[in-house]
Amino acid sequence: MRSGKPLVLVVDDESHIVHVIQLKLENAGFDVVTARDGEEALALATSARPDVVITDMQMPYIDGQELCKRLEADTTTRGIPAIIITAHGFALTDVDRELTSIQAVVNKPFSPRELVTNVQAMIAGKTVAAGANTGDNNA
Amino acid sequence: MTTTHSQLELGAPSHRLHERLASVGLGVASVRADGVVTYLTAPGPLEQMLCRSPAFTHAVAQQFGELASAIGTPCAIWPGVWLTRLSPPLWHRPDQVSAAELAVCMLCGPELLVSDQFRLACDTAGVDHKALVAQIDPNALLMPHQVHQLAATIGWLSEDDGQLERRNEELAQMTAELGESYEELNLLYRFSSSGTVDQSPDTFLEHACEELCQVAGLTWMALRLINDDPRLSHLAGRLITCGPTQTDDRTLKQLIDLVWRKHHDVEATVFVNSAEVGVPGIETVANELLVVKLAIDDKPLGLLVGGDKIDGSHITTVDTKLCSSLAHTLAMFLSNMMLYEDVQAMFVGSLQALTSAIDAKDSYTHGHSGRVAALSRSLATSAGLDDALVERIYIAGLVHDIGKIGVPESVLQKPGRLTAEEFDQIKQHPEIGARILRDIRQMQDIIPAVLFHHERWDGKGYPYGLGADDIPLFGRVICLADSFDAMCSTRTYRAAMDQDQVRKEIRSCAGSHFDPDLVEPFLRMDFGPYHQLNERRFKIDHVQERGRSNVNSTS
Repeated sequence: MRSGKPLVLVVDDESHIVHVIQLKLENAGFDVVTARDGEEALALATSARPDVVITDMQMPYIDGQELCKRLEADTTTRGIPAIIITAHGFALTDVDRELTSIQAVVNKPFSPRELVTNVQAMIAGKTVAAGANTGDNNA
Repeated sequence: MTTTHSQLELGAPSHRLHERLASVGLGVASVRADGVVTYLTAPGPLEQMLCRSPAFTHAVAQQFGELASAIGTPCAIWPGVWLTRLSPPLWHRPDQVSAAELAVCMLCGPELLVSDQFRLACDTAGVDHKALVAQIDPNALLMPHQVHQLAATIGWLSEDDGQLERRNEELAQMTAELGESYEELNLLYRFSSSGTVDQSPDTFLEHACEELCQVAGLTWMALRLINDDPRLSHLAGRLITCGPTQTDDRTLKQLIDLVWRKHHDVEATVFVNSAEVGVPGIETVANELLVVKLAIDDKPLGLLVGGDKIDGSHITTVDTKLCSSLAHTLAMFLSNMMLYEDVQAMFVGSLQALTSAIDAKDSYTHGHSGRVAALSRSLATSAGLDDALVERIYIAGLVHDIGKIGVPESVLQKPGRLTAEEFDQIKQHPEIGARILRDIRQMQDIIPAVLFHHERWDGKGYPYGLGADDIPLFGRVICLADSFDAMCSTRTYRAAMDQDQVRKEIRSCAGSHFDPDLVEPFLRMDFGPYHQLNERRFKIDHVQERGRSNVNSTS
């Protein structure tokens, strides 16, 4: 059941990071589902259809970048804006931009407050974009 | 797979335990010291009957002490009725219970149904004993050894549950604190690494103030800088604020100055009650006040003041440490800025002295270098060059004629036309200048300006006869400024031209003498700084003239 609040999927194999992000997002009025690795995240994204995905870059099995590629390749999860969190520095390439919906890369240690602001902007942007689709295509 | 089953929930687990026990027919009740039993989950008919019985209540009251003392051991109330306590005790949950109450499970065996106590209770309550017994499933009743096993199991479960709940509370608290730590770390990293050239000092300080205010969770924050150090230049005496300060900047400035006067020896202090600060009116801006000094090597640079936590809590030592740490970073930033100002002022001052020495060789070119520097700076600004380049062009303007040091005064000051030989000597000054500067690492970007300021757009200049874009930009800029000042000045061989004439001349030389793309920006630029220097020149000339005539008249 969706509560009507925006839903964010948080993916990280480090549970303390997940907990911090979850707490901050919930305090900011979001619903949060979490996953510990890319596999779990894929299944959860398909069933829960989050509005935004926040994922760690370095994870066992499927890393954050691969997760975003697979989300984009699946029609049910295509276009969900994603934020990558990384401890090793990561720059978006044109290929990433084409094959994923990664909209931001956040380096650790990150500011949870700014992350929440980022998510809010993405949700707001999405609403605007959805409205704009009916009119001019200003993308 | 999904979170709800695989991860700890942060909700109240004991509530979940009650539901789970109820789902297998083990209702949970709360018991008061006076023996009253109230069911927290739906009671069965037996339990309902017992709870209504005053005799049962009395028996429970008598056993309450024993019941409270042990978890995992059933406490027999009547034949075939036991209560077993759950952990943790309910009085740890102030939202549910006020007085001493215990959470218990009631366990019943077949003995109960045939006991005198139970029959009597039914009679007292006017309940048909037979009909009630008929409702009971005999399989749901427990043998005494089962009661002991179950009580022990429930005891462990509830103890584990209590642990789980405590851990979850701890986790939630640590998560919140970890989140705060991330925030603080991030703030400190950012400001300790970014106090550099990529932003103006104003933006840097405003930004730092704002971020700190938010991370520390303060209602407002203000940074007051000292006003008695010229090296702070336009920042001296500034008040930077963020958040609702409850008053206007002027009043706040006065209040902070008073705080400073009273507490100039503080490092970082929290005044839990702002009245303790001893500054009348300070309580109107905040109830609780954080005061942190910005200082380097005991030299105070400013005062950072924050008011009231947004969430109404008290300002903690963590907040204080965070603010002191950032205050230290800001102080270092300001101190670096002041050192830079020092070095810069020393550098420019030395260059000005040096160029005055050159200009002094030729009374007709008095102040020329300073004026060319000012003109070049205005032109660079007008042409849209970035600030760093504009400053370098100013330096280039100052030193462009430094090579004249190697040209004999007799040639420089010769009235009337120069011979071809003399002119050749003059034409060497760009190269002499370039050689003088060659070994100064910090002047490498200036050398092209010195070397090429007599090249012409049409290739007819000297020393190399370069043309158009082959002439470095600095050279083209200084060339235009230099020519303009020369035309506006009296020379040994001609009088000064008036400004309109000069402007016409400049325009007509666009594309021949001058870079045509610089002429338009030049003609529309701000000549204010140049005119100011000129007025100074005329005053000085006038004084010198008078001095000279005085000398003449007395001699």
